Formats: sequence, C-alpha cells, structure tokens
Amino acid sequence: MAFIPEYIFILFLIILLDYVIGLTLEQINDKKLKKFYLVLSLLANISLLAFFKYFNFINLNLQSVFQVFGEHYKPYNLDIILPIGLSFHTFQSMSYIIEVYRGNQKAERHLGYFANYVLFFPQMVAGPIEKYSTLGKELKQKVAPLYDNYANGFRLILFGFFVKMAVADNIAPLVNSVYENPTAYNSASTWAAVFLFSIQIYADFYGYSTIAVGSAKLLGIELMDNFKTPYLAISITEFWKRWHISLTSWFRNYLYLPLGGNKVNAFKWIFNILIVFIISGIWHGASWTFAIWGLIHAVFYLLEKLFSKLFSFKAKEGFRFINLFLGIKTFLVVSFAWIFFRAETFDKAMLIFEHLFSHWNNEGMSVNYLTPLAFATALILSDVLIYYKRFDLWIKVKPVYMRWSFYTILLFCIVCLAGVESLPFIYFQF
Amino acid sequence: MVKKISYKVILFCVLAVAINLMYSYTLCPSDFIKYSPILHQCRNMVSGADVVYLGESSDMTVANTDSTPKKISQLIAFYKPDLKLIALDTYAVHAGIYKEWIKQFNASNKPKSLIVTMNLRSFGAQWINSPLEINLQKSVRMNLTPLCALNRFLMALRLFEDKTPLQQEKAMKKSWLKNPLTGSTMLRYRNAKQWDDVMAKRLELQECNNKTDSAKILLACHYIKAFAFNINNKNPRLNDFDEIVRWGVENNVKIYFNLLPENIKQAEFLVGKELVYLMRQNRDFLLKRYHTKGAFVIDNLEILKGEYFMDKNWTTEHYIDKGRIKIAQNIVKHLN
Repeated sequence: MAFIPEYIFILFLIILLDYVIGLTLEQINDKKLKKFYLVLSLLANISLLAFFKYFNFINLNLQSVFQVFGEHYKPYNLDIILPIGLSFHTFQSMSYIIEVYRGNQKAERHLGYFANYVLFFPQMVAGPIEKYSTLGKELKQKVAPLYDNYANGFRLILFGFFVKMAVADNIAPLVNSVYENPTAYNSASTWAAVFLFSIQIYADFYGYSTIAVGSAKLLGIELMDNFKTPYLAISITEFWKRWHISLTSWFRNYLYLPLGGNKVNAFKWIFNILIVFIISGIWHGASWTFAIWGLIHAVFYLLEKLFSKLFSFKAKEGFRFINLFLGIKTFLVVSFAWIFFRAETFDKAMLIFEHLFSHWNNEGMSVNYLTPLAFATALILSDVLIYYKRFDLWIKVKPVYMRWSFYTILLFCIVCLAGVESLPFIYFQF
Repeated sequence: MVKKISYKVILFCVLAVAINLMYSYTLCPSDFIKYSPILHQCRNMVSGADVVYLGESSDMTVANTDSTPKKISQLIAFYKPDLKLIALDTYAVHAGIYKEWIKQFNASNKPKSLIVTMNLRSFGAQWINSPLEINLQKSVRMNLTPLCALNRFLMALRLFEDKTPLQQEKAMKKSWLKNPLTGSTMLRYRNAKQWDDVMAKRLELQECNNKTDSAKILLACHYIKAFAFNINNKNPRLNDFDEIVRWGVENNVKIYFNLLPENIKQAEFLVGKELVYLMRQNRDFLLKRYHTKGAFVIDNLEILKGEYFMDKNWTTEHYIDKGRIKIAQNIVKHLN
C-alpha cells in the first residue's frame, strides 16, 4: 500500500468510466443492454482491484492447484504496490453505478461533482464508503460557515487523533512483537496481545473514521458514522451493525440482498451468509486467513440465529446482567477471529492459538502491557460513556469545565503520550 | 462567530503552553533518555574532557578471541593516559547524527578536541538510503525545537520518515544508475549499476558450476554497491561533515576525522584495481577538502591488512584487536 502519484490515473480511469456508464445507463431502456453496461462497469472495477490486490494470490493458488494434479506451474510474481484506498473508492464508485442501474439514483451530469464524490479527500483512502444519494447531495449543497460545524469538526478530529495516536499506536508495538514471533512469548503475553489487537484495530480504524468525519464536518459535510461502540455488542449480528457500518451496508445492499437475502430457503440462506462473510474477508486482504476470519464470523452468526430460533431467545437492549455475559462472549469470539486477521499466515495463527493455551509456566518472554492496557481501558470506558452516540454530540452538551477538562486530557495524551513507532493506519492497506 | 472562535483559539494556545510546561517538568526528562539517549549523554556529559570520540559499530565490536576487549576509543585513552577521553557511540550512525550530538555540548562541557568517525561507506547511496535512517533520525528528534512537548508530538507524527522503505530503495537504485563513475580512463563501467550487472551475469554463469566462486562474486557485488561512487560536492554527507567543522571553528574545538580502514586487498582481489582507484580517489578528495577547511583527516584507509578485519564475508569496519590497536596508535600519533 502506498501513495504513488502515477496511480492517480487509475482513479481518473474509474471516474471517467463510471461517469460515462452512469449516463449511458440512464439513457437506455433495453434491459439486456443495461445489464451489459452494468456488468462492464463492475468488471472494470473488480478487474482493477483483482489485478492490484489479488494477482499474486490467484497465481500462488493456481500453483497449488497444479501441484495437486502433479503439474508444474511457475507463478509470475507481480512486483506492484496496491494503490492506497483502492478497495474503498472502487466500492464507492460501484455503489453509484448499481444505484443508477436500479433507478434509485439519477446519473450525475457534472463530471466535477462525480469526481469529487469518488475523490472526496477525508474518506477517500479508508471510507466510510458513502452512497451517492447522500454524499453527492451534500457536496452540491452550498454551506454557510457555521460555528457548530467548526466546533464539532475539531472535537471529532481531536478525539480521532487521541484514539489513533494515543490508544492504537501505544498498543501496536506490543501486538507486533508477539505476532512477529509468537513462539518467544508466554501464554499471558499472548492473551494480552490477542485482546489488545482487538482494541488496536478498533482504535486505529475508529480513529481514522472519526478524523475523516471531523474533517468533512469542517467543510459542512456530514459523513456517516462507521462505528457505534462495536465492542459493547451482545451478539455477532449486533457487532456487524456497529462495526465498519458502511462496508456492512454495502455488502448487504449489493451482495446479500441480490443473492436473495433471507427470503430464500434455509440452505440457500446459509450459503448466502457464508458467501457474504467470506467475500468480505477476502476484500480485506489477499490471503486465506482473511477468508477464515470471515468464515468464523459467518459460523457464529448462523449459530446465534439457530440458538435464538431453537430457544426463542431474544436479548433485550440496555445494561442488563445477562448482556454483560453476552457482551463478553461476543468480544471473545471477535478477538479469536482477529487472530486470523492479524497473523501473516495460517501457521502463525495456529501458533498463537497454541500459545494461548500452553506455555503458562512463564516460559518465554513476557511483555509490559500496563501502558497499552491503560489506554485500551480508556477507550472502552469512553465507549461506555458515549454509548451509541458520536463524541462531538456527546460532549457538546456537557458543562464548559467538563468539556475543557476532556480537551486538556486528550491534548496531553496526543502531544505527550502518543506512540512513536512507525505505524500507518491498518486499513490503509486494504 | 469570529469572536467566539478567537476566544477558543486563544484558550487552546494557553492550553498548549500549559501542556508544554507540564510535560517539560514531568515526562520530558525520562522521554529524552528513552528516545534520545546519546543526546542526553552529550547534554549531561561531565565537563573537562580533553577529547570526545564519536563512533559507530567500529568502536563497539570486539571478538571473543581478542587479546584485549578494549575498543578503539579505549585504546586511544590507554596510549594517551594524560588525556581525559569520553566516547559516545552507537550502531550505524554517521555524520548526519554526530552533528546533532555535538549541538548538545554547552560552553562548560564542550571538549578541547573531537575525534569523529569517518566511514567511507557512509558517503555511498546504500548508507544514505539505509532503512536504519528512520530510527537514527528519530533518535535526534527530541531536540528539534526548543519546545519539548512539540518535539515529542512531531516525533509521534513521524515527520522524520520522509521516505518509505520502497522510496529509499528506489533512490538507492537511482543513485547507482544515475551517478557516473569518473576520474580515470581505467574505469570500464559508466556507473555502479552497470558494474553490478556485469558481476551478476558472471554470478549466473558461475552458480551452476562452483559455489565458492559464487560466494566471492556475491561479495564482489557488495563491494561495488558499497564503494563504487565518486564523492563530489553534491554528496549530502559532506554537508554533515562541513557542519561539524563549522561547529568546531565556532566553538574553538579541534576536529579530527578518523577515516576508517577498509579491506583494500579484498576489494582489489574480488573486484579489481578500478574499485581501489575509486576508494583512493574519494579518500584524497576528503583529505584535501578538510585540510583546507580547518579539520584534520587521519588517514587510516589502507593501514590494515586483510586479516585484521573481523568479517571476511561482508563489507564492515569491524576490526580484531591488532587492527584496533593499529588504528588507535595512528590516531594518537596525530593528536596534539
């Protein structure tokens, strides 16, 4: 993943192609021809993604397939770097085309507006993936300078920086050292790394999204919330309603529902769920470990549905004793699934699992997890405090002394306690 | 609205100043030791040192089989017991970092003389674009501005990472390709890239037949990458050494550059006379440049035989006891 200036032409290509196809789709009535243009656009977008992201992965897998049949196949390794944010802007552009095809969205006539939609800088590299019906409209609105927009924008940016620089970046060195060399660490350290990675990836992505929403807010543009306290979810279903919301919506609208959603027989529905989660896993990275990550979520999603159907169980929202257990259960499942997401290979993931349940007798190195744990606790506490709200909306109604006390603490943590290792945003690589 | 925003901006500035004050009295001292240990050492160095020796791994590497575990700097102190010598060293540093260290000396603890390690390889593209550069730059960031909280913040923002590892690699390859090798008609290759390519082709041919030769050719390629360049006025490392000289003149501190020995015989055996020619040409350039600028380059480039080098299969400046003794003696001879 990198920003390479020449790659801007890839973006221009996507913009031009989808702009022209969008206009064409609107003008033709022939269903077959419409479908042809839709497929053309989707193919172009997906091919681009496949070329940059999955070429080597496909090749390596081809080699394995050939080996099964006793044939020799030397994979050609493409030495290219994934353009930063490609997965995000291709998905955003595809959503526009699908909506125009479905007739839910008028094709944009002004190339500038459409280009601005794909290239809108705060969310261009890591989302939220916006629909044209919302972001397009916002971009066209003339916005008068409003104090509230500036205040809320800066509040979000401040909080986003705190979450990324103080929380995620202080946790990352510990997690990295354990995941790079799992055999060197004892069980307690491995548990710490597994749980702290759950917090790290959340803080990293949540921090970015909050900064993105805040930056857009400064311009008077409202982006959707990508996270709503996901680790307070009491089920996997709820987790996905709170985690990377824009991607979940994308897969629901453009993959799950077209496959038939839940209005099909049980087997087809199970198949749909599995497909959606596995593809969502592969979207994150060209490795089977990501697919396994998706599969684990799919299995637990299905198990939960089965459980609630068999025992007619439906958890009620709010702070209840049983919800605490359900929340811990969800957090455990999500954390274990993250092992496959974070480990570079399947073998490394298995090593992590092995070290979770063996090497208790202090064999191996231990890590100092006090600082990372303190920041992780701070984030979870802030989630409990904010619960389902956005930071700016939560803090703006607090008394002035409380607001500025918070700002002081956040600023102090950003300036004086931020992590100093070299750690780009995790989601930039997708 | 403007009034409201102005109040908030002022309040925010007051907050920033308060945070800076708070940080400077609480966490800053421990952060300074943690992130910039050598800067801290320089700042808190006891006064009265006659000589400060600035070194890198050449002053830190000793072999278990050595008759003495003394480093070059310790040997200088041993041969010059009347001098109070303090050594400051860490791995992989170069003049770009030394110049930041010496800025920490104050009027009371600045030494009378400074011996600065001058590694010929540090002028090459491989070292200039080394992946270690990020951490080296980080180690001197705590001193970027007078505001310590701002320094800590800028370090966290990683503004010192001006190049990604990929960009560094590209810059290195570009330098090998674009910087012509000049100086004599005996140079058969236009640039380091062409030279390395020829060697690599030879390696391909050899690989099937003889493994010993393959290893030699591979090492020859390393020698080419490390030493096949011309130092000219555009070399960024020269600016760093110049700055050290300027500091010496301004602060009345004698500057000695300790030009480290290289395995010349090995270079000639593996690559040929052309490479040795380039190394000597670069040495002469440095001698001439700094003698006229007010510093003294102690020329150790060719004083060691091949057997005095610790690593036989790599281009390093790590010496066995006899080698270190010889270097120290040569330095002592020039100190006054």
